[in-house]
Amino acid sequence: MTKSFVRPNPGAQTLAKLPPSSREDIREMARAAGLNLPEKLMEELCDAYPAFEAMVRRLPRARPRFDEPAHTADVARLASLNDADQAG
Amino acid sequence: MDTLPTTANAGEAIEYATVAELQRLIQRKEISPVEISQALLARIEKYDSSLKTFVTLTPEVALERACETESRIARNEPLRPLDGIPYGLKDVINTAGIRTTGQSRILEHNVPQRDAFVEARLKAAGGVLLGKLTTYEFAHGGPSWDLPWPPAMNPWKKGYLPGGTSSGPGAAVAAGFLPAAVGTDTGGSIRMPAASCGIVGVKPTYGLVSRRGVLPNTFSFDTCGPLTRTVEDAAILLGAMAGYDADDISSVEKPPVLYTRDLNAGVAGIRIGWVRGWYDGDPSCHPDIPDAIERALQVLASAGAIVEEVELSDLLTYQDCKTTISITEMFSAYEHEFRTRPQDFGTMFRNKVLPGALIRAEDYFQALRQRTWLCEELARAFREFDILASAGWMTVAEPAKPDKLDKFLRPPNITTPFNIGGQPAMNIPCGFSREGLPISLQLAARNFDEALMFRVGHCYQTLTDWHTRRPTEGLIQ
Repeated sequence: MTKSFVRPNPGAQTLAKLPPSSREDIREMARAAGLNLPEKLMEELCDAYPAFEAMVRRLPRARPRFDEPAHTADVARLASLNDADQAG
Repeated sequence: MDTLPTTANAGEAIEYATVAELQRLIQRKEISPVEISQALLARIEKYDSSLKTFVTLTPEVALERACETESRIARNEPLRPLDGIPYGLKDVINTAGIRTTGQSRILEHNVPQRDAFVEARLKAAGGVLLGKLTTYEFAHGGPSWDLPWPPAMNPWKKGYLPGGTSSGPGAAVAAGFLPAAVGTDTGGSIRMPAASCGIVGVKPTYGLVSRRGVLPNTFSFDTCGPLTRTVEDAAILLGAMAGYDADDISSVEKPPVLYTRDLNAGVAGIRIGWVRGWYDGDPSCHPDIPDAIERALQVLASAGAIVEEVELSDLLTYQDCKTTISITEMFSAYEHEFRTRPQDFGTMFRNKVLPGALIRAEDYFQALRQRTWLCEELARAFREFDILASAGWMTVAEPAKPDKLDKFLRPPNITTPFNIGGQPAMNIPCGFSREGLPISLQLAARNFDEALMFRVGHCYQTLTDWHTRRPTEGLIQ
């Protein structure tokens, strides 16, 4: 017998039913994000983005208000970091 | 293997000696560290024009370090954990004075001034760096044929890929160029090439090995870990790599663990949760994989492990969460270059990361909240089971198709859940497909319980011989 650890997700309402963005919508979003892409690369983005949009829209949206994100700012650790050059 | 010849034929035996075997031979002064490095460099020279596992070879560095070990031996000084042991680094790991490219035109001529923490640890342990190994651009989104260096190939079969993104480390260890290499794993990038190349690949617990000086993929998930041919060797390497780093915000301070100590303690009474639903019945799963995994778990059950089937959320749920976080963080890491020289990225990387510019803050935070939910699911499973097991990858190695670029999202990775949860996870060889390509078993343990994961994997390798098989057909492409 299989033991299940899956719980019904309380925020299971998603944005999956929204109509996909059009190529013109994607161009407008890119412009609003300040991307100044050559036409060939803008076309690439218009081809690539729909799969990512569908992915993001599958995320649960109606979570209980107190559900925390999976990160915290550890201020004690942040304060103790050296300012050593980490760039290379 | 403990009686390696030190003659002109030594190279033939050295090429597949394990780290543990080489340690014993060096300790007994039965083999010279310089001879080991020279034998492996000769093999690399013979075959790497086919396999393309190295971006940069470092023979001078290797021989200098091997000579240093020989001097220590001559002075009868105590040997360090990796004295004389050759290794390679995925080319996203900074090396002082040695080019570190991220396999990208963006950093084609980048020479760091400072070693990554993990390279500093390996150097201090006496390891011998043979070179920097092929990856996908910035450890994401390949393989690509429009970068300054070609992708690595798989030594098991001509015209096949080794998996990624630690593709050079996987192929080089399988080809007998190195007994060990270090890769990075953000969603499966150590475990996938380990599966495709028939070797061991370990993603440590997030925070166990410092990421300082490693080119970022996803800050929230990035880990560094070893690729080797045996579980014992992975335990040795991880022992040398792990350690607290006050300058890495993700680093967790833990007492050092001797990962080799309990390797032979067996698996009697160990509870293994078998996540069969992640792969069995999935249309993308190779038909030989479900049986191979079942047989592997039967081996562990016959040794005393308690195996029960468990169900977790489907892989797409994990993947949606992980990829939303990943492309947002990755775009932020390379945003300046995307704004100023986007044409200099390879097509694959650009197509998989540039959409991150359009992810909204609320989308990113909903993914982070979903991550908490999934972490809780995994934590509950690990309260009842010591180990979770599944297929190591859904497919066997895939053919190289330079004319058919995969620009978009792939089917979900079976490795990704343990990046979400942060747990240690390891792929080990457990069979071969009808095409003669390796199949892999994935084992995961509770956070910071690498020792138990190694114990189970080592027990499996003492009862089977899959890890002793060697590729021949693909060595010359």
